[in-house]
Formats: sequence, C-alpha cells, structure tokens
Amino acid sequence: MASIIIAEVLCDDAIADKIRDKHPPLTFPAVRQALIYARDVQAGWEEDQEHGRRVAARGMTYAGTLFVAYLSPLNENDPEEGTFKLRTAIPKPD
Amino acid sequence: MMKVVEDMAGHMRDDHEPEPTWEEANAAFEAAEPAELVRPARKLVVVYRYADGCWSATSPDLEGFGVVGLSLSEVKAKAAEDLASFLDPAVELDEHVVEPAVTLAPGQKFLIVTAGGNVITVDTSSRSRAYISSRSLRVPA
Repeated sequence: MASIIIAEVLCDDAIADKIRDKHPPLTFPAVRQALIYARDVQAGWEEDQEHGRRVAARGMTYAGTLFVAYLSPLNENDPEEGTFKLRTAIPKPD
Repeated sequence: MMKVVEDMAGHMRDDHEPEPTWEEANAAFEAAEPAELVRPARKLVVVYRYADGCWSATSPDLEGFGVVGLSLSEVKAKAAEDLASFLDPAVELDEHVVEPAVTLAPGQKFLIVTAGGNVITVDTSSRSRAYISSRSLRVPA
C-alpha cells in the first residue's frame, strides 16, 4: 500500500475564502486542524483527468463535520515532503 | 512569464470551477487508491488560565476548543476527556499554565521596583493606569 505523509497543510487566501463562503461550516483552519491532529483521518491518491494526481482525504473537524478534502503536493517533484496545498473541502450535509 | 500566466490561470480555475457535491466527493474518495496516512510527531498546545474564580483551557492550535472548571485538576480532566474523542492518540499535549494576574484589594498598595533599584509606590485609588507584569510587583503584607 502506498503511503501519504501529511506534515503541513497550506492554503491560498482565495481557496480559504471559497471554503468559508461555499462550504459552511467548514473553514480552512478547521480542515487543516483535522488533517493534522484528528484521529481516523483516511487518505488516498486520486488520478483526476483535469487536476492530475492529488490526495483525497476524509476526516472530521473538531466541531463534528465530516468532510472530504482535496490536496496537491506543494512540491510536485517531492510528494513525500509532507507539505500540501488544500484545493477544496466538501462537508457532508446535515 | 509563461509560468506566471499558467499559475494565474490555475488560480482562476480554482475560484470558478464547479465544486463537487458531497456525494460526488465521497464517491471519488471511495474510488481513490487507498494509502497509509503517515503524520510526523505532533504536539497540541493547551493553555490553562485562572480568571474570575475559575480555570479555563484553550488551544491556539484548535479552533473552537475551550473548557472551564473550578479547579486546575478539574479543567485538565475535562480538557483531556474532550480532546480524547478528537485527537489522534499519537498527538502529545504541550500544556502551559499561565501565571494568574495580581489582584489588589481596595486601598492596598503595591511597590514597583525598577531595574535601577528605584521603588514606586502606587495604590488602587491612583488615577494613573498601567499594565505591569506580575513578576515586577511586590505586594506589602
């Protein structure tokens, strides 16, 4: 089984704004905290025709919102470096 | 220059492309190639403070986390219980207890001892206002 090392998650302001505005109650800090600190986070590699190879991760925020997040390695030449850029996060509706 | 244009195009695409629904995102996750998630050693900072007769615990690392209690041991137990349901068991707590602020009774005086050895006496009726570290204060008996 392949491995995914997640040490840090970064995000552009535009993506953080998009998550906050389009996908409440998710926020970038809540998603980042879950991906780094939470139990039971699952992740896999996805080959997307449009976006290329990226990580899909599923977890739960401290506030209890289940979500799926898409992340791209910050350094595409070294995907095991552990730093990812958050592309979006989708909450499970109530 | 071409790289900048490509980056800008990608940035704009992120803003305007349609977002998947939960069902689509979850189905894509289920179809992804499973991988073992590896996270390096992590510490979560928890800060305990005493104010207005009770203790509180918050964390600069965790949005929305906060518990209160009447004693430090009580609030530590509540924090541990609350965090246990969320935190990955491998995460270590980095706990800090903030020194309580000095509170003066009405009419009580305190002395400020400066680095040069000067002593300033102030009482609570003084019109002056200042924020002074509790480490610099000596309250006479």
